[in-house]
Amino acid sequence: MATPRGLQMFKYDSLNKVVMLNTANDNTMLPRSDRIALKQNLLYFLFALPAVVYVISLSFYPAINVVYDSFIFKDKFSLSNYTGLVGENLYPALIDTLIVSVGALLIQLMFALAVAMIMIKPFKGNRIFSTIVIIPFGISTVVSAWVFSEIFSAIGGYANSFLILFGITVNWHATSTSELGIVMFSDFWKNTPLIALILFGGLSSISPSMYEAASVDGAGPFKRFLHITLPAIAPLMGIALLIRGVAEFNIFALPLVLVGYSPPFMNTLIYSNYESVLNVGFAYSASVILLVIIMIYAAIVLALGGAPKYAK
Amino acid sequence: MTTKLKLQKIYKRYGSKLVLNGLDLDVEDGEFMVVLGPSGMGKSTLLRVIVGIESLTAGKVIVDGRDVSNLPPNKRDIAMVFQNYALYPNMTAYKNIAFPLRMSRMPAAEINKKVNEIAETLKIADILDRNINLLSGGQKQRVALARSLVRNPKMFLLDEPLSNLDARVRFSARTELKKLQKELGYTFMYVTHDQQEASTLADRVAVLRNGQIEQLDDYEHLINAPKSRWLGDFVGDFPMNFIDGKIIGKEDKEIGFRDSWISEKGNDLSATVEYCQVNEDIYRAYCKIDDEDEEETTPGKRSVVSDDKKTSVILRVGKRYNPGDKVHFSLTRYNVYLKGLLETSVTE
Amino acid sequence: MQSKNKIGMILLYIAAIILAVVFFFPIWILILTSFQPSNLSVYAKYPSLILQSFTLSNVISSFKTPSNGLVGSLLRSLEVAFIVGFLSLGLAIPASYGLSKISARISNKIIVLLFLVNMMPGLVIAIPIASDFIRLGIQNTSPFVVFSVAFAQELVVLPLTVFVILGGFRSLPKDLENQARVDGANFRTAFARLLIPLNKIAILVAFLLAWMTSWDEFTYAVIVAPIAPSNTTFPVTLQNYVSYGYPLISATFALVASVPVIILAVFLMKYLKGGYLSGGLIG
Repeated sequence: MATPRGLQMFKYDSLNKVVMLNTANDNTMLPRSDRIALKQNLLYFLFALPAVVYVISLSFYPAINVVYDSFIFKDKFSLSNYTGLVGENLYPALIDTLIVSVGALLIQLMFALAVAMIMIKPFKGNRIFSTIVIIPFGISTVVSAWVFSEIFSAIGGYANSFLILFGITVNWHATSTSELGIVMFSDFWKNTPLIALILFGGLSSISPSMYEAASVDGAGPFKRFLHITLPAIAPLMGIALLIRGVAEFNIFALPLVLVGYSPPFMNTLIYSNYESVLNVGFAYSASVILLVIIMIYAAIVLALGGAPKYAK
Repeated sequence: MTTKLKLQKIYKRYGSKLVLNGLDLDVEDGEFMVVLGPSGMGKSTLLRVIVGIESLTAGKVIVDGRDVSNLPPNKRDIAMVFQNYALYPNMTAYKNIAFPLRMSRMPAAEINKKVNEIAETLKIADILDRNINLLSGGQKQRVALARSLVRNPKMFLLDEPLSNLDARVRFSARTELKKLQKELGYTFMYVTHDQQEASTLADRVAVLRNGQIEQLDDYEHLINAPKSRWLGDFVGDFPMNFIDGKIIGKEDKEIGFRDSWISEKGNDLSATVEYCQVNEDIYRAYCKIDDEDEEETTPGKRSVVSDDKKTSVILRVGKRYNPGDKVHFSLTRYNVYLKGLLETSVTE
Repeated sequence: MQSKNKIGMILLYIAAIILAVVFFFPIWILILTSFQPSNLSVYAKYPSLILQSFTLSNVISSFKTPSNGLVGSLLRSLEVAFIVGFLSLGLAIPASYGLSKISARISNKIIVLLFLVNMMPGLVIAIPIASDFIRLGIQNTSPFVVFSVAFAQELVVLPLTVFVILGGFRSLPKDLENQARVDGANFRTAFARLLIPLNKIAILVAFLLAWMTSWDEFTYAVIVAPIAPSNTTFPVTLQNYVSYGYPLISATFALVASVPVIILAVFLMKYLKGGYLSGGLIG
């Protein structure tokens, strides 16, 4: 019978068994099944295309516009948007953003893990605990920011109502440090629940027999945590680190409502400059700087192995 | 007997590997064909290519005289039971079985009749309303089977459907399956790596190796006259014994014999027992063939030929031997192999 | 061994109680400010931590704000949230299906790409979009506002939606679709009658997550639709009222409006605990 086209690359050895020669480079020379497999994979990519195109076009196109516009001043190329920004609180904003982002991120991850580890244990109040812990997720950021501003006031406020029972009062807006502190705390309050839930999913996939076996082998609670718990949730931590970290750098509503424009954060800086018509260029340049910082952060996290691996 | 399924020069390539390599096979109408082979050798791929969920690199699949090679799976009229049953989760057994009938737009009353009929046959009528998540392994297997039978397709492909069951259930499921197939007269193609299943179920066995059918025969012939050394080794609960042909004066050939093809009354060969295994009332001695030139070893004196180089054999013996004992035996029956292929069978 | 367990349990309870208090405390404050007359809360120097009197006057005032500011923006937020939710499903379901069929190595990289794009500062994206709208003169017309905010927020929401639904598809039995095809279903039927219904929980979770994220979203909303209280979303209006000096009314309204969202969150939690947030990465 005639040799099918796809078999032209085979030859028969002495035992009349077919032996592969080399893989074809030309697509049309591919055997039918490989062409079909390729077409199928392409089809699946097509399914994903609308979402991917949407996300890329809606983020890249405006971003490129902003980058371009940041280098324009009075209709010609200039770096004045960047140099002028220095006088507009650029460095304080940068530092504040970095401190709060890193600090809040670490606090959130630690506490989220603690919350997740509590949620996973069967105990009497577990249901209530889990319900309470999820509430911040349902409160609007702006609302929570306002509540915290009522709690952490310069004079009085609910925090001081409690502290005065011990004879102390704190002016929460006295220094920029304390203001950074209350921003971090509010941020922690709002975001820890979601991370806790993500980590909970990871924790619940660890089978208890692993802990039992380790315990029999003489591992104390700390060692068990280090060698069983942490590795199991490591991929989820990586994701949380990436997503939450980026979101932390992007922090906006919270500081805006809680502390206004001072102490400055990158996003509030951008916003204040955007609102004033004269300084729109500063808004662009500050945006570009923030973008670069975020990209560097994301690159670092990914390079350290933050990309998810499919466990199956 | 008509040919139900004809596989013509099937090739299937994955990347640079040819998983199916010019395979030819004919399955007769009403036959229970078992495809036997070691794991990972392409058995599942073969089924997937026949049913159409994988595409062929080259070749033809012909069902009832109709070339289905280019048709999608839902047009080939072939049913398949997957290894993990692929039951539709969160649906009742009834809904699972009715699914294929709903796909063919059968009226609800007729679907009801057919589902109940098949449930009766497979003795699962009482669990039809249960959610399949709540069923036992054996029940799930029967639901999967019912789902494939309810459509009256041209033929059935089964991919190791019993391997997820525990041993006792597997045994009864096996015999029930064989009985069912005979009663209903369907054509089954069943893939497994389990020797017991092949021997119990098959009308004919096709042994798959290196992408081709190495031998196609009923199980008895496969056991007694395996066409190659590899087959002798692979087929059967215990591998075939192979010894150097010089023992019968044919030095370039190999002698293959099954553990029961010996008589202890003879004295042609002797072997030293390493250990003896008892299974119900069958004794098997795991031995090493003694070298002809070797003297009787006395304790303390090492043998001339090192143990590693000696040939291992398994012998069916009449009584329990102790390690170190000698077994003297002759061959009552053996096959002669030249360059790994069967030449002749000899019966003394 | 017994005493070790007991100590462990005590520590657990202490930690749980402390955390519960920390997480509940702000809600309690919100209740205190919403349901007490303002002289007991925002205008008191050291407001009481206990409920001293109960009033609904704040709640009533908030529903009567000038030009229907709060109620109107609540409705806008609702509209936007539903658009965002359904748009996510429309984009994410096919995307997740396609990604579930591609090898994990490649599909995981695509997921990472989607999340990466998420990292663009919201202001970076929103500012050009808003400028375009200003140029076109459409920034204040109601239907455009709703859609433009929705499309911008979709960006934030899409990666998460895809992640959750992809996890759902990946958790289905491997040969399920094949079995359906063998049973006679064509692709459309297998997809619509089998894959989607079997995945409906993940889809619901994804929808709710998208909805709730949109509801809370501030950055895009404040840039794209900042003016005219009834024409912008709830968080923006809230912030406007707070900065204009009517915080009490806003907070009260916010609490009342938060109740359904909290209920949703609690409902969702049952499913979020079940691992829908892991995207098929674990187990």
